[in-house]
Amino acid sequence: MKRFLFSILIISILLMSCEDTIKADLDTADPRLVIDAGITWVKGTSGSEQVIKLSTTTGYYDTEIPVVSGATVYMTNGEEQVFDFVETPGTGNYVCNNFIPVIGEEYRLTVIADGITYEATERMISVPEISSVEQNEEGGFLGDEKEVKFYYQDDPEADNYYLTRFDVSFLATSEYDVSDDSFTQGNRMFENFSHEDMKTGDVVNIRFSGISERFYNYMSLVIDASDGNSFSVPAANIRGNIRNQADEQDYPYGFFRLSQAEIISVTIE
Amino acid sequence: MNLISRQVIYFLIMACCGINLLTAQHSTRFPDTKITLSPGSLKAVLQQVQEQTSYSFAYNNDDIDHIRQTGITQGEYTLSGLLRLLQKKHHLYFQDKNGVIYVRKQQKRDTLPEIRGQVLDENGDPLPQANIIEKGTNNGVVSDFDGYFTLIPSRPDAVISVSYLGYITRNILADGSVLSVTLDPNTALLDEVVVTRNRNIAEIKKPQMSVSRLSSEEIKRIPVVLGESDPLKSLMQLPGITNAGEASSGFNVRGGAADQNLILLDGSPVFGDSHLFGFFSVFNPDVVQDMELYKGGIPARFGGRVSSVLDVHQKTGNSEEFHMNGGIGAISSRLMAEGPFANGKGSFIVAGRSSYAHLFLKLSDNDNSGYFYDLNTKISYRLNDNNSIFLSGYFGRDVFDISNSFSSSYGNAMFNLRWNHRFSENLLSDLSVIYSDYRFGLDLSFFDFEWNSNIETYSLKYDMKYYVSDRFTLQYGANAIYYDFNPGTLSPNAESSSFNYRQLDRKYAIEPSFYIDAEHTLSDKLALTYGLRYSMFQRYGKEEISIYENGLPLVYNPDFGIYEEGKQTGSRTYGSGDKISGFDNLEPRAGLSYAINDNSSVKASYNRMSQYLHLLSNTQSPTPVNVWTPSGPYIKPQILDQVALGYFRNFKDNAYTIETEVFYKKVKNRIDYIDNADLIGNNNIEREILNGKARSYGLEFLLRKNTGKLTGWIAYTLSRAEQQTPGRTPEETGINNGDWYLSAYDKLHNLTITGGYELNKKWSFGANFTYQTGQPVTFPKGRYEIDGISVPNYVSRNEDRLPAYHHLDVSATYVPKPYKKKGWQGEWVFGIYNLYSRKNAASISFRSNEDTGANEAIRLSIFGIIPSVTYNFKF
Repeated sequence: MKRFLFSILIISILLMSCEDTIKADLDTADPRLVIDAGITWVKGTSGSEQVIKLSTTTGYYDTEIPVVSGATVYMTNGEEQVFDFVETPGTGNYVCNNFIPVIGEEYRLTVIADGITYEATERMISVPEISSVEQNEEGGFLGDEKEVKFYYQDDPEADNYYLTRFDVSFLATSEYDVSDDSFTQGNRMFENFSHEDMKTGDVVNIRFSGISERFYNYMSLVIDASDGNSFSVPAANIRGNIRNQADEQDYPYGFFRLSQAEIISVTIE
Repeated sequence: MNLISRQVIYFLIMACCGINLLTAQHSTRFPDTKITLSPGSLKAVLQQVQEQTSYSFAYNNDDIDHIRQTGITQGEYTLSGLLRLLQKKHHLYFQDKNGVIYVRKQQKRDTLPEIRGQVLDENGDPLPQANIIEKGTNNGVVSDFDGYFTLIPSRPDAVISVSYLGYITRNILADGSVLSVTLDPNTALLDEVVVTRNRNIAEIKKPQMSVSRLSSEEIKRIPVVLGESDPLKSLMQLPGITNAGEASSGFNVRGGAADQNLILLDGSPVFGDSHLFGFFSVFNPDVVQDMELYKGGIPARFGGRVSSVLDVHQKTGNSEEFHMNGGIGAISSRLMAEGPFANGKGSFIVAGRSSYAHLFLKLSDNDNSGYFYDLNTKISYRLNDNNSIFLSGYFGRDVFDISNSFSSSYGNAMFNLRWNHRFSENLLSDLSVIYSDYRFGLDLSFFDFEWNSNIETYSLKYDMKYYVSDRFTLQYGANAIYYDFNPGTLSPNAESSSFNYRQLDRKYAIEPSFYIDAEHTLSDKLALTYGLRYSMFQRYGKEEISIYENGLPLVYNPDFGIYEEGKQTGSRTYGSGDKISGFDNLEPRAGLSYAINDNSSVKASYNRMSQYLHLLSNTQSPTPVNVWTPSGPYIKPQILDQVALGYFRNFKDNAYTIETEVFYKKVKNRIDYIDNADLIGNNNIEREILNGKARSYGLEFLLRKNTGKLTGWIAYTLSRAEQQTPGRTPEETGINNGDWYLSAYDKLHNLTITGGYELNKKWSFGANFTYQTGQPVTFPKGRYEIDGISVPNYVSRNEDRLPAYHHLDVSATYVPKPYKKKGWQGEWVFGIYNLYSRKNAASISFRSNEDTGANEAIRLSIFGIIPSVTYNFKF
């Protein structure tokens, strides 16, 4: 909602003004642990294979992300069943091959790195089915871009939050969108993607996930912070849901979330 | 107040004792001629004297009619003894001029009489900013917007000189009367007639301080971007006033937020102050007579915002002749018409302005438009000597339409009907009915919904001005404002829309207030103002107020160190007219001036203000989407305390003026927004905000050169503006860990140099340089990755700054036929904004490049070098 309204400002000011890339000197804060624990259960799969990534913060312009190796990572479910995540040596990627996803189940994540224990709990969130996919040539603000649009039915009995990721070969970064049903409770909702460079034959990979309210809030901030929106709220540190109980101030960045997801590929006509 | 009301206010015209009589001024020694008198009224006694001597008397009936008993007994008197007696008993003053004895009321011995008057032009319209100077001294004042002035002369028989550029200067003996001075235009237009225009001299003996004034002439002389002169942007050239840079709406006074400024257009509140997201202000330079910005020492008649009051006055139409003027500029064109009606009892002015469509949307092949327009009007009508009616109106809109998929329209509408009534020479009143509305509409057809929000106010205002004595003036009155807030209506406009109809809770409130303000001259050196405002604010239903667990709409989650929405446990429904919550505040105001001599003084002031409205905005400058919200069960009113101390000096015969001030102010209950606050379309805004406080302090310096071919000023401000939002309990972190941090509008240094040079009657030049410390921003201190997204790592708020903001602008004005006073008169204005093409950063944002994936810093700059030509005309 907010994003639509701000777009009017951006569009009119950008047309008048000029943007250029500059070299802004930036300080680098002390490195902090980052736990990227995104558990995704893709519909139609068993969901048994999952990856959790450990890294640290680095300089803003640095291209390499320092990985954190040698940590102990595991998850437990409500029945105290333990799922171990084992590092592919030297990569910071901790892999589990026997995970059992259950909708609504609460899981606990434990990460022990450098002798410090970090913990988080979350529930697995379901996602509705993608009911239909459409294509048109009227996307973008000016209505002149190729557009992919997919529809789904919101559950009227609950407050729902959604995350959609679009990947295309002509962009180096993925496009993320979050939405909620506060204005569309129980309606047929849609997500859309359009880009001026999109042409016939391009493949748009879509991952559509159900997410928790807290992760929705987190991702809204992450998306705003990463896309350089000049009209967004004051920049601030984004706090995730992983705790260090021994020292609350020394918390790690990142988020522990579990989503059911649907993945589709659309070839542009 | 305006032209007609000044006429209406009947000040004694000095015609009865014309200028030629005013040369012999000292008390005459009267002969000891013997007269036989019988008791009676003063008039009867004077009659007897007239019959028995060669003298005759001249007097104003008002002065002597009321003296029924002279105290004379039957018997013989000498003329000199009689007049001495009458002088003593009845405080009369006698002057012999060629055998005519002028009788006047004598002023109190111990204090010199204050001279009050009004300066009018040949049409009877008031001349603001005329110079009134006591001859042979540096004692002088400037007439106010309605042409009125008050001068305390240094001797009883002072001659005052009244001057105004382009008019013949008049010298008048002022002996305590109130007077009306009509100046005639200097039709001879001889170059040797030099009339000093000295509008900017500091008022040495008035306790009012911290006021920035600009007249329409000054506004038009300041070079501006695209040649579009802009009253509001011109104000940024004065100390203590800044904004977020080019193309940003709102302004910040002494480190205050934009929503803390009370903006009045002929008394109507203005809620949206800009067009095109801040490229232009809503004030059309053609109709602005002048504007005053009160930064501190704010008089008790103003209230409702804590930071400043911007009082903008529209011109009154010409009551003699019909005239038109206009301009053709790079962005907009303007047309204004004014003239009399009803045989000069009334006058009107109507002005319109519109930008060109498609202005900023240079996208070919598309059906896009974006433009603004506004209409101003003022009508005055004089019913009789004691009553006048004024009507002011404004209507303006910004309109955007992008390929029919997206359209938006927003703007203000205002209306003010005022009745000016004079009860007596000393008691004036104004009764006003005011309507003001700001609305924002958006139609997103590709999502098939419409969004509308607005704020509407109705007010009734009664103001009185009472001249109790020469040294004591009272202003008092009452005001009530009714507010109707619509924070948002979402309506689907097609069946296929995935949006549901939703009306956010409308809010209703009443803000009554009462004030009294005294201006009190204690001695020749010391003058005081003191006043009190009592303001109230009541929220009324119909509204449903949410109730939260433990009364906390916002709870702190200590596990994650973040604020989260509180748990709603229910709600309470208030019926129409039920009181939801109420506040009241006493707001004392005080100021004093101490004149060190005729040319310099020190002043001090204190003001407390309260503000019951809040603009929900957490961007650097307000946007048209932002909505106003009232104080209520979960939002407290903002309270400000400000002190200021200043030194003021005119020197070199008022050719130069120095004004310096230091100020300190603090605001409590300033709302601050939690991270990830969602302000738009939020029905429970209390779940996104915390109460914080703000403080600012600084030093302002202004040096003006008032006379000569080169005029202008240097303004410098050194200041700091900070905010703090601590946690409500020791456990909570608050915002920015509860530490003080720089407000977004903190500007450590702010320097402007503005100059005008009049080469000859045809050519004049202007230049203007601005330098400001870059605004505080938060830059990333690193990055990390989540699900492939590069996320900037932020640490503390507003620890970095944008690069310094500066630019130099120049303009040249060419008047082809400067002596032409009738018919078509044209003027060309050539301007270059940002002469050395400084790329000032409006923002620096950080993002991952779409194509390479690498992180980069992007500078957004609005204007490079911008040349412009404007043609103005009048006839």
